[in-house]
Amino acid sequence: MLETELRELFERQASGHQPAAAITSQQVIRQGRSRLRISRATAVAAPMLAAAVVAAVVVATTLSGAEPGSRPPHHRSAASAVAAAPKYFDPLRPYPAFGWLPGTHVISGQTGTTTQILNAGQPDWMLTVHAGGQCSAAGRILRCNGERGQFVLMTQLPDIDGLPAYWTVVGVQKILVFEYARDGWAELTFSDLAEAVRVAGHISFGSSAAPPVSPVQLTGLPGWRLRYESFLPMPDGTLAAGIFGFASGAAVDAPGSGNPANYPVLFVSKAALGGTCSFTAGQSSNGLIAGYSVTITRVPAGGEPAVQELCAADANGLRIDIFVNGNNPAIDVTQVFAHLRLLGPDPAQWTTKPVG
Amino acid sequence: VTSRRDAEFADFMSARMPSLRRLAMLLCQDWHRADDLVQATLVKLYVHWTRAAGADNTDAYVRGMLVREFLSERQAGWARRVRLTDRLPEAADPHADLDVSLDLQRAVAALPPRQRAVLVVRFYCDLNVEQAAQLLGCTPGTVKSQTAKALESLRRALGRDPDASGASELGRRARRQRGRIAGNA
Repeated sequence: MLETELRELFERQASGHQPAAAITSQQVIRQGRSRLRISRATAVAAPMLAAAVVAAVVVATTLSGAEPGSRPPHHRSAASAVAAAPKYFDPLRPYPAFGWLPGTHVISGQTGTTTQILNAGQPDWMLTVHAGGQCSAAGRILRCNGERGQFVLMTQLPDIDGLPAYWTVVGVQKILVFEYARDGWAELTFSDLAEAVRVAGHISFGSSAAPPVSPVQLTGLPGWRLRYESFLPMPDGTLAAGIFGFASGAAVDAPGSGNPANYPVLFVSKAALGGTCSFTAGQSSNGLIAGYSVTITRVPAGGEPAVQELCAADANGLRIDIFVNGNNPAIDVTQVFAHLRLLGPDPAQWTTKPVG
Repeated sequence: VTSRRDAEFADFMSARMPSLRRLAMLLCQDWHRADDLVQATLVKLYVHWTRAAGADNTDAYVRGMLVREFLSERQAGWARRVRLTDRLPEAADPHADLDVSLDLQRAVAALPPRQRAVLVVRFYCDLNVEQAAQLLGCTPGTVKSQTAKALESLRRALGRDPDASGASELGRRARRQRGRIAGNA
């Protein structure tokens, strides 16, 4: 029987002589760190990064497990559910909002023009919302632009607000996949299906939520603007942006992109007491820009694209990290830093207008 | 936080490296490419380590990453790139003196990547059709059809498909007949 022969062949090959591995953990970790810098502002690394920034910024939680008395006023209704999903989201405002979650959770998230993400736990309750037209269904396959790519719609569930819903598994992750508006799909990771259906049924969609507040402003760079990549809750329930993508001209919010290559990403958090910047001999240099101490690191292109990195451990009470990954940077990290207006560590001074 | 994360990751990596390399070798049918594949997968795993470590079954999560990385790299033309190496080819498999085994090995190596991946996850990883579909990100129907196509290709390559078997049998009969005629002459 061929199947038996195949099993035997695979077993034999697998148990045969294994040459020494040409892979070391140091190599992998070094490359992984480099990749992490790039993908911090994109979907998958968001939960981990959020957790790190939460420690610095967040002192309270935002949602309680209390059963809602009524749905939020902007919750999709049967009438609004058949409306088409927007082709693009406003990158300066979170589009989805959780209305109910089991237990208490700290919400973080990411905004973008074609995909927006809310995180309320690890690994459960990660909501990814795709703009209209970003997903296409063909039979039992749903293809979406973005990290996961495609889903096999394994089990159909009762409609949620009159639109189809399914659950599926990707790897070991259970995911509720549902249409939140015509031609617009959302994914929600979960452990308990009944809870997931309830959570999905109480998600509101629309840009009526308050925009995140920003601890920095961009000034004096015409044509450039900041767009939120990731935000976190403040004690008063407002959202504070911790990561920004920069964009200019045609590269602004390129569909499907986390952050385009060659464009800066800015990480902001409250400065830690005694915080330092990493310094690599031969690649890093220390300097002063606008009166603040900064460390600039330039990693030349090799197997990976070139990286520019500017770190200010404490600039007016804020820690600033700016990265530009790519061999043809659209702007220098020092220029970006020089055009930032730093609003200090007190959230009361922060602004909803990141572009000055 | 970073050093703890790195230490956890390094521990996981050293413990699982041999099994990941074996799986990669079966997919790639080449140790050098297998190492490239494992390295690419581990770098991605490092980036997604928090999520992977929190998964119910981290091993299954990583195995899925590796198979999907194999398929995506194949689609991106990775397999067509020439890799220069100063290493000698691997030593011959001590069992490879069996012609049948060699033929089967060659036939498996000649399969399209997706068909080979289906066979490996089903007959090496012992996943059922549903589990294989989840891992490969396709429907159970696709797994079944890819498995059937792959097995059919192997049978043909080994001369075991119905038509080929019939031809062989006719050939054997013809040779026997010629022998008898020659013997009578």
